[in-house]
Amino acid sequence: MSFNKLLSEKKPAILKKWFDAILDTYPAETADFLKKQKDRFANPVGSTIYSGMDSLLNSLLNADDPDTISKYLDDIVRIRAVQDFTPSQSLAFVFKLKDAVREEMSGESNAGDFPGELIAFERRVDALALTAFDIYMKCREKIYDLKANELRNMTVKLVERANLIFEARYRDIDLKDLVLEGNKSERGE
Amino acid sequence: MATIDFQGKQIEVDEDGYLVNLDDWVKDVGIQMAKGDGMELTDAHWEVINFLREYYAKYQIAPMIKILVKEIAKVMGPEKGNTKYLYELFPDGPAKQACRYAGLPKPTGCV
Amino acid sequence: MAKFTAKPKDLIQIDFKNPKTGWMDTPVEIREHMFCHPAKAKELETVGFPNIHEWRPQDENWNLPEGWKETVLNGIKERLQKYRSFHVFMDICVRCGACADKCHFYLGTGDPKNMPVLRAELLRSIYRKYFTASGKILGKTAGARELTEDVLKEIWYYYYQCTECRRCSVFCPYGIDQAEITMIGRELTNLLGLQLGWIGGPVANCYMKGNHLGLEPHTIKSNIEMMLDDIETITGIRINPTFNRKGAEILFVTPSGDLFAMPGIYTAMGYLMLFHELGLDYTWSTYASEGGNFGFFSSNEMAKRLNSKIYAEAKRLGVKWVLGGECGHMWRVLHQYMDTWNGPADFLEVPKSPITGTVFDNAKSAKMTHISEFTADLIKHGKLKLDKSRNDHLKVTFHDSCNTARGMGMFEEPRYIIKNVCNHFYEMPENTIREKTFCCGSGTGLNASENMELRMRGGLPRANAVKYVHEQHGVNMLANVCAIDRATLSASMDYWVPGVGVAGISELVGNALVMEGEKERTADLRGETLPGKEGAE
Repeated sequence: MSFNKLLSEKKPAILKKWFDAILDTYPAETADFLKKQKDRFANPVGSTIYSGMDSLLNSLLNADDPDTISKYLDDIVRIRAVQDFTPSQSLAFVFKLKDAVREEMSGESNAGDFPGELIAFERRVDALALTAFDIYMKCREKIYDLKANELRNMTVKLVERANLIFEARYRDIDLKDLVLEGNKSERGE
Repeated sequence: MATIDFQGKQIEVDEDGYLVNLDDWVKDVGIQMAKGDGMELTDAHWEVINFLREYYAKYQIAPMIKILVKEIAKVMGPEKGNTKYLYELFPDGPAKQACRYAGLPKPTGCV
Repeated sequence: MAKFTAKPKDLIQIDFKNPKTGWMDTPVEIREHMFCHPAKAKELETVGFPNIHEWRPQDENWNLPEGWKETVLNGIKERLQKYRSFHVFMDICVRCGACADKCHFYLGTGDPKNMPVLRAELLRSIYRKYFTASGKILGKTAGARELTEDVLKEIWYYYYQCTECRRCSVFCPYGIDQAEITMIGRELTNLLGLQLGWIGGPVANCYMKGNHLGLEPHTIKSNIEMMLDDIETITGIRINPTFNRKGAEILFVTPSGDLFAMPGIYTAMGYLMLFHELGLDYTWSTYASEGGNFGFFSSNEMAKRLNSKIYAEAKRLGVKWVLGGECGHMWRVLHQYMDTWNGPADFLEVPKSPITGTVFDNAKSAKMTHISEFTADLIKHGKLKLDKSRNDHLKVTFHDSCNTARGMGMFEEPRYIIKNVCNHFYEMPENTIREKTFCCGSGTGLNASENMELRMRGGLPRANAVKYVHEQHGVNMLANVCAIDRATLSASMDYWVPGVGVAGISELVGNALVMEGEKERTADLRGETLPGKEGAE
């Protein structure tokens, strides 16, 4: 049996261990709720983290492209980045995947057959951690941006708009495309 | 309450660095605040700051930027009544930065 | 989070598991980005708030006034006598936990003290200790505890992590209104001068100038003039509204955010266009220039005081009834309190649409009707000519504002309007709308900037549902009927669901409204080119 095949077989157990590890960072009653409530709208944190981890595991197995992996990671890190954690606490969950994999594989008599594959897999997890750090910083910067710029947003985005409308009106040139662009940037497109 | 030291005198500012009392403002306070941000205020900056202060004196609130741009265009011509120009002058955003140097409070409420 | 405190040596032995202690033994930790700045002294002086003093939430010492404990306990005693509801809510909770996971702050933070039941326990434990026999004798065993400075800080911290949205109350088998408990908790801390700037400022402005932003009469006029210019550019029609006009049939009152903030001004443009098209005999007031009421986030008395100008102005102008704009908490106040606080408004008539003849019996006593009720009735009677295609660039979903939904039960009218002015409307999942709607996360004066992290946490459950319709249907516009929503959901969308804008419903009406004598529209109210009109002029 190949390493990947074994990993696929063990995936449900690995996912459960990995998910439990991240739940341990929440207060006990909260962890319980995050685990049990399956409705994704009644439990945005638990369901987003769970489905994010599930997708991440699949992506690691399929060796998906970095953008896809990054998207799933973003879903989880975006939440962790605004919760009561230090940066290390926020992101430690990534490394917990290594523990989960090793623990699940250790029971297998033939786990030792894949030292090379295991190391390669763990390197992918390390890369995942670095990506998580990038995302985490982007999220934190966004928070500070929002904080610093809200006053600006309430008025200055109008500058852009007003200016474009102004130019269209007073200079008699068609700047509608620019107006459209301004609106797009306001919607974050 | 936070304060800034201005010519040996303590002037009250809020958590975001805006003056608490409008009456504490003199031109040099604006200059000192800008220096703190690493900025040298030129005549072009003062045109906008003075406009803001005049607007405030009349309306008792900092203008919506939409109005700021329009009015500046009216008074100073379209080459100054535009975003790019105002952003070049006040990189942190005209409303935010210029209002602070002008000693005007920031608006609060459903905004 | 946000404290980068881990030292290298700690990293080696860092425990990522959460410590397990009971809530009473878990001391409060006041964290940056979770609270709002204190109010300025002069704002509090303006409205006569007591015990004004220097303090900062992050400091160890809050400089509490001498005898603060007696002040709080007397405050509780007085309120137990005054509000039977408060007394009942302190006694009847059986801690069944139905409310626990219904709070947007709990869902976003995972902090057990954000469970409504536990948030209420913070105060209940004090009530038990000082006002019940079992608490006095049994103490902690009976869920009672001493009122200490730390306990006070904890109450303050968590009562400003509640937006009084009342979602939890929908699920409470006893109907305990947690919002009322938060209101009392805030009143008590206000007795000690612990008010927020984002509440104290608007309250002082509203008291002195009639509105939260402090817009003076000529500023209001000037801002509306600017909107009229834009309306003329877009439609070719010049509108001439009146201000403070005696003898008008209707007084129109809206939150001042609609006159100043983005994207609120587009909502206001929608009102102006609609009223013009109807030829409505109405007037704006520069005195009753605020429908919202941040006094409601301070104390019952302050809310009553700030609200009084609406009836006073209606009486002075001699109007028949009052029409109200798109605001959330404004409607809880108008619908549930105004009449008993400052009524009876027997000098007014029951609101009756001069266009359709519909009598709004639901406003029989308060004499004030919501713009969505008014507009939906117009559409129902075929009184508006609407071109839905002008909103074809928008894929719209509707966010029920907590207060119009749970505070006045208005679910259908906004949806009916949207469906008649937009071709693309998609509902968010059932357990996140109508009476189960999730708060924007920034209501009750928590819409400052310094507490952005708190706002993002609280905004997650709402944003999570928006994200779903954004991914499923390409929704790009979050419609609502609340000025705080318009002011704050933009930031929430920016963080959680980039690509979704925020708009008041009257803006969408303004887009679709075919006005007599208008030129061919090529842009919507934001100046954005309409689909199919590229290159047209």
